Amino acid sequence: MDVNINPVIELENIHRDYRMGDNIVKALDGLSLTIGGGELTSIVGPSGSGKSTLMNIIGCLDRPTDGRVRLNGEDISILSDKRLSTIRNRNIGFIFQQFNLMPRLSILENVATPLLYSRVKTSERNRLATAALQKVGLGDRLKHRPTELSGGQKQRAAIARAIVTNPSLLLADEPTGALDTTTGELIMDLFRQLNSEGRTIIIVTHDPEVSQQCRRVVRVRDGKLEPEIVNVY
Amino acid sequence: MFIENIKLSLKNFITNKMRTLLSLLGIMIGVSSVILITTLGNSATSNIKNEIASGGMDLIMIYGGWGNARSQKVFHSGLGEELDDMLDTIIASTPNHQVSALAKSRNKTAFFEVNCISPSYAEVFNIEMPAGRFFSDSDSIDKYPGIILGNKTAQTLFPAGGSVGKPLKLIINQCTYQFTVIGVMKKKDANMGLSFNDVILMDLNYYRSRIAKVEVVNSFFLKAADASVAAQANTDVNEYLQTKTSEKDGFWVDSPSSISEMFNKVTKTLNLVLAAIAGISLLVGGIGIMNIMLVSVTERTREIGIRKALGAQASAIRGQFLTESAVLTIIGGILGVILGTVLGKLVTELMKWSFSPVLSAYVLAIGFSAAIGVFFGLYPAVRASRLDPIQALSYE
Ligand SMILES: Nc1ncnc2c1ncn2[C@@H]1O[C@H](COP(=O)(O)OP(=O)(O)OP(=O)(O)O)[C@@H](O)[C@H]1O
Ligand SMILES: [Mg+2]
Repeated sequence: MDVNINPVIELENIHRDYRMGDNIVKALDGLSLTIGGGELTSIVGPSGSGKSTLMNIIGCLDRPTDGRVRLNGEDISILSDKRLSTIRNRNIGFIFQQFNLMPRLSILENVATPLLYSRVKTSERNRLATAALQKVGLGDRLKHRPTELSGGQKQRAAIARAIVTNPSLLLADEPTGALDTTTGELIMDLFRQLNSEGRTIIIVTHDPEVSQQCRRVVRVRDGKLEPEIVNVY
Repeated sequence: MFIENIKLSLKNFITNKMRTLLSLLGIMIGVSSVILITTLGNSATSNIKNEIASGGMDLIMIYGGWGNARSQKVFHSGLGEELDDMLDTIIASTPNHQVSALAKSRNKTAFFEVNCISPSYAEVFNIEMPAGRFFSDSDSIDKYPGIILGNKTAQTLFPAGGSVGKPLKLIINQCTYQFTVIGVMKKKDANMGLSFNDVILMDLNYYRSRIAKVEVVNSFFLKAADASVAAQANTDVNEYLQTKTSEKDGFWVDSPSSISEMFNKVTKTLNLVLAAIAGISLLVGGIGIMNIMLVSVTERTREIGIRKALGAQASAIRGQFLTESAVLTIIGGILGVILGTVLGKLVTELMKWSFSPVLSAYVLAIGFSAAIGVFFGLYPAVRASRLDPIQALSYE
């Protein structure tokens, strides 16, 4: 597995505070982290430790209260919301625990949606979305609604949607959390395959089975990092 | 993207048919009442105008002679000719002095209205004479006791037909006069309340020299040079008479053209009322749309979060919801147009009017519906576009 020397993600002393009335919850408390290109990293930690908050900041869905975030060398803390939308659209693919497919749309339409926001033409959209679905093994379910798929199929559709714009970074927040062990393993196989194609992947998980398959295991507690584990195979 | 948004809107419309239709009621009622009222207004107007025009738009009527003795002098039997001479817009005139008479033919007796007129009457009203002839200026009126019958009068007095040349007795003010029928008028629709079929015509000069020497004639009928100058002629006559008598209400000038002008004014007022109705119901409809769109935004908070995570810019979300509310109101507008047209067709059919919908009202109605959708959809759309993606994603 080639790991790029150039860091893709650089977090420097990140703080994220939530103000709850008079209390301030420090979801992230001075966290620094660097992730290189092509790495398969997992983030583990107890519930409420700040894993999702960290992912949201890396994914340009949220801004830190303090600290600096660089993606591919670019400081995103100073970018406009509009620019961040474009980065989410082109460079980042999200995979959620609850799949988050849009129920009224077919699987094909769901997967094609990110392309809509990068103004790709209809025929090209359908071609790329079909290709992505074929890649995750759902080439025969294009017209189905999300409710007509099993959990594992839904998650594969969500992965197809995440990779349809061919982003370099995939962020998955407990992608196997809602799946049984066998299905979870199939999803992990898919992630390893996508990683071997050169994509940087970060997976938040509670499942040791999942984190064991990642070279780096970043441990978060109370919004801070604990010494990380590097798996050597 | 626009086409995608329209597809999405239709999809959402189909998913929530009933509730969306209910929210569109305001727009539907507004639009259908606009279409209905404009259709009825236009149909009624063209119907009434047709009715008036069928009798000739070039007619001008003067009723007078109710004033004081001084102003009564204005309405002498030659006033019609005087106006004809003085005003360029008038080309023919006839006095009309009405008396009633008991008419006795050989075997029938009946009361009739006798219109004492001049030979120009035929020109003023475009009288056609299928049998006999009309009065002429060369008739030696002192001696010739000719008389003309309306179509129905002839049928009543001479049921066997062939009335021309027959004698007819008229009893006026208890005196009996002997006449000969010289002609029968062609059947003719009443015009401005003037009937032609159940009357008897007599030459006013004959009446004045032999029956009663009337000085004041209370009505005159004039013919304008052309229908297009009828309104002008109406004004001219009014002004001329005003120079003759200063007495208020001493006379009254009327014409189909002035009535149709009045009708136009009424139509304008009607349009104002219509605009008010439309305005109110569209406002109510717009608020209904705003409400349903706010509900829709709330329900789809999670979808909005997903779209934002996938890279939708605020403007894309705004566009999606604006398109959706415009599509909804256009659907409402189309349904309203259909409803209004069907109702308009029904009512005109019932009234036996010709069905004349107003095209501009249709264009305006649909355009307005779309505008309402954009206007009242703006707030919900902006709200949707400003949602925080993380909060939206965790919305249950
Ligand atoms: N919108 C919010 N408002 C206030 N506090 C928040 C908000 N989001 C997260 N927090 C708090 O921030 C801390 C970190 O939350 P986060 O969701 O990142 O935890 P997590 O590690 O992902 O937990 P889990 O494993 O249960 O998903 C928690 O204490 C949480 O209560
Ligand atoms: Mg979490």
